[in-house]
Amino acid sequence: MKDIAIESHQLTVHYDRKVVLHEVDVSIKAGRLTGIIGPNGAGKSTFIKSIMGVLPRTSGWIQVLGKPSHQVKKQIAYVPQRESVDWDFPVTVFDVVLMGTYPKMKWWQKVGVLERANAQKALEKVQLVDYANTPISDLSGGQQQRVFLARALAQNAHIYLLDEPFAGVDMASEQNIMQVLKGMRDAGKTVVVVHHDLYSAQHYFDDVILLNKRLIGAGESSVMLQPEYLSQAYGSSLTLLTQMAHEMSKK
Amino acid sequence: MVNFIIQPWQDMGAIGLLMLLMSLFIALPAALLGSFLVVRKMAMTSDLVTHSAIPGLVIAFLFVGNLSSVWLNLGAIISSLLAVFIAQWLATYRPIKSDTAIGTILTSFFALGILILSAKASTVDLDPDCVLYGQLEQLVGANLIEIGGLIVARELLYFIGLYILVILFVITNYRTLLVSSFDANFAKSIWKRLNLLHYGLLAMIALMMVQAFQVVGAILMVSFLITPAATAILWCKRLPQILIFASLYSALSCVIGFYFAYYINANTASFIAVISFVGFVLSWLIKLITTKLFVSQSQLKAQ
Amino acid sequence: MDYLIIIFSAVILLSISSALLGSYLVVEERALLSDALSHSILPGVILGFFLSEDKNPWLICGLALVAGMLGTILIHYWKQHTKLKQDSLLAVLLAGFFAIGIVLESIYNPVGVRYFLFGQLSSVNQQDLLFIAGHTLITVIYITVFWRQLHMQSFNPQVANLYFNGQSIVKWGFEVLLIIGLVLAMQAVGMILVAAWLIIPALSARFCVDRLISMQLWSIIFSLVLSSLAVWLSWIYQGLAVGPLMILLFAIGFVIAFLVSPKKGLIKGIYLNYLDKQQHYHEHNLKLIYKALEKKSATPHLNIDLNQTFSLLEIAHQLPMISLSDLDKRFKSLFKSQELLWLEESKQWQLSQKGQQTAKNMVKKHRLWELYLSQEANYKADHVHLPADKVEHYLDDKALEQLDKLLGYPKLDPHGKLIPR
Repeated sequence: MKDIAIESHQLTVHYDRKVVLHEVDVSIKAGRLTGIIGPNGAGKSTFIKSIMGVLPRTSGWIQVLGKPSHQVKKQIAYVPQRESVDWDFPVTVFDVVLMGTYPKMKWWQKVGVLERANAQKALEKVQLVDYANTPISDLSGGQQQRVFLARALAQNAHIYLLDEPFAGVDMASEQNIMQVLKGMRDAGKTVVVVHHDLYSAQHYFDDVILLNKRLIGAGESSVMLQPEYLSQAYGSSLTLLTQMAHEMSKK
Repeated sequence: MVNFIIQPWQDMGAIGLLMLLMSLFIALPAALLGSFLVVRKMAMTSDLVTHSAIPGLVIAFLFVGNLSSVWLNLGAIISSLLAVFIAQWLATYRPIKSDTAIGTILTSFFALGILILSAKASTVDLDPDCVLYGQLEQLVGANLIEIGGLIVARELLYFIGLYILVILFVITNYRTLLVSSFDANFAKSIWKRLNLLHYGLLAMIALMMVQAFQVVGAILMVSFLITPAATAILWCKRLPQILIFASLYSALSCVIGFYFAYYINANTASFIAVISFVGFVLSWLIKLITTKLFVSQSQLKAQ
Repeated sequence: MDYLIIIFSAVILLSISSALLGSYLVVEERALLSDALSHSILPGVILGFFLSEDKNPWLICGLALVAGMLGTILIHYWKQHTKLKQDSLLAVLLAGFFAIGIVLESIYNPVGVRYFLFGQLSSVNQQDLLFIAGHTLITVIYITVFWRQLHMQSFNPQVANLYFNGQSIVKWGFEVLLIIGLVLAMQAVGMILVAAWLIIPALSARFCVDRLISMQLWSIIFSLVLSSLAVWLSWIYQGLAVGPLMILLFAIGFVIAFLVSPKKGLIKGIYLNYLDKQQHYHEHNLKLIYKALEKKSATPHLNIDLNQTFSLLEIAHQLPMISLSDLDKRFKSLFKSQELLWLEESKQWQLSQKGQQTAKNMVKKHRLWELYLSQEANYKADHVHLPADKVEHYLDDKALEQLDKLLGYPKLDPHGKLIPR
């Protein structure tokens, strides 16, 4: 079982009384770069949040490294969507990256040399060392995303979950981020990325999971990103399914 | 000049000092707690907490009859936390937005408190006026006790104790407070029981209200909580700086406000709030002018 | 008694204007703004009292307007120039202006200001009443005339600017009416509670109806009735202050509307849920009987004879996972709803026409949905049963027909069972 990093079985999630994810059965392999692809509202973010335990599940289960996710929280690093945060908050780049070292600290411990070194290393990887003391409100979108990535790196986790890391990001930042992610994969980490762009998905990811409120398919990216699967993910033969979900939510 | 500074003390003696100390030890913890409210974008919740502590206080007071009982603390906390909880729960229903929920609960709870108070006004030693703006001047002489040769107001000890509690709370939970204020999703993914922290913060404000409402009043408390923190944000870039700035700023407002109130013979607590507000406006204007200057200078350089 | 008439009239007039103005506030999420505004006009009110010796309403309202407008403008610029968010700015303004007001009061000590802080309905005189009447009249006319503009402003401010000329004037006109309305209502209920007069009745109305105009009408009704009740009650029980009593009655009214409202109320919701559960229970039980009869049948690949009679034990035999007592309960509930008939002579059960129809329909819905999931959505055969169990209750006839057509009027479900027709 060591090569399955994340597994879900019949995962169903409701939000605001609507079904957002429906009976998702999926296995994510360890040490690979996996992309989660699907149209808007497909439940991709929801899937990631359920793995983290940030959103409650209606039914089904998720296991990370063979155990329920809350037992292995320290092994998972979560990079949320950029809009979920107030970028006017009074913190510097270094402050945010340092937050990545917090999960492994006990409540009585003070931030020390080890943690600072960790944060520094993470900053180097995303090439933001010169910005360490800059307030985050002064950063561009791409730089903000790299700060988030550095925070995740500072966590030194085994599994990394990123939610739309390339949304609104300039090309240079996107390439830097992709480079870092590939480096992480080469170092044996499991990287799962929610992604919205089909074309880059082919080049970015080893494996791909196609989601549209339920699993369309999962497998190697060269296989999954073929028209037959894509039309199912993005196509409209499932209007009845969404219609029924809507009816049920009204009750 | 020296006379100007010394005169209040010569005139009022120990009472004057007590007044200043009381306001200081309300302002200092308020500045700390309020800083977190501001960065969590919960500033108006301070209005909710301060106003909704009143019915709990009043009901408890009716049962125990004196203002120093521990039951008052309990009443205030239960009442405030209940109000916050209900407001949050109401806001989960579609047509009700969180703004409206806070406004509804705030006024309803406060109305309940005032109704009971005014109905029992004849039998009770609590003046509705002090709910609004406090009676620092009257109260200071009321409950004096002796400790090691010094005469102190009992309330002052309460406030000092509360300040120490707040400092301990902030220090032990600093990381969690920082991260949960900045990025709630990230915080939820690495820690459990964040709700406890959230309600703990509010509970301490409620605890302050128990005695502070007589000294400062429910509305001015909002000034003590929010204005120093808001001003700090205009000047500082990081949270630790904000906490320190807000504390120093609130202490300074207390001192300056105290002097003004003495010489103009106005209500002390309100004057402190006025000074605080004036400082905020001045800070805004200074920042505005300096950034305009900065921009025009760099435009000049670019040409 | 003249005095009582003045008070009731004042309260009625104020209820009307508050309800009208407050509806917009509730819909636009500006409830706390009105709270901050009511606190920040205090310095204006105090100066007005001080400068006019006979409580000149023009002076008081005028200066209150100045204070209110200043506050609104300050918040606007603070938001633009600083990183601070709306909630902090409201709090700073509220506390700051209020404190200035209190300092002014303790210096000048004008008589009558207390009435504005806590509300003193009895201080309303004839002159005040005329002013209040004027304000309410103007408010009603203003809202009627500028109905479309105000409606758009609430819903979609950016577009409103494009649709109408002079939109900003209409908007500021509203703010003026709002501030004056706050000042006038403060006389009755006090500064802290005045926001509630505008918000709570409107919020209660929001729970009952869905359109702004109905909401305004209903908030007027709630406001009128409850505020008059408060005045009457405080007249009878001398100890109760009108202001807080009124707000509490509004709050109780809101709780009732929240629970009882036919559209969104909690109680109705719970009741509907209960009805649904009952219906699902019956549908499920009829399905069970169908399946039991199917199992019993010698020719399951042909249509089942649903007219046959059967005993409890025969069915129980086919459904081993259900206990006998449980099955008995289910039979009894189907009997009550007349979907199952008891034949006294033969001591057997039989499905009524209604029961047969429902049973056939339910099984058809279930099996078609299972087929849909496995064919169109790539579900594995052992994963289709549970979702179908849930969805089958929500497929209406139209959706069923759509489903049937989409699948090509199939004969068998993914498990090879017959789809009844």
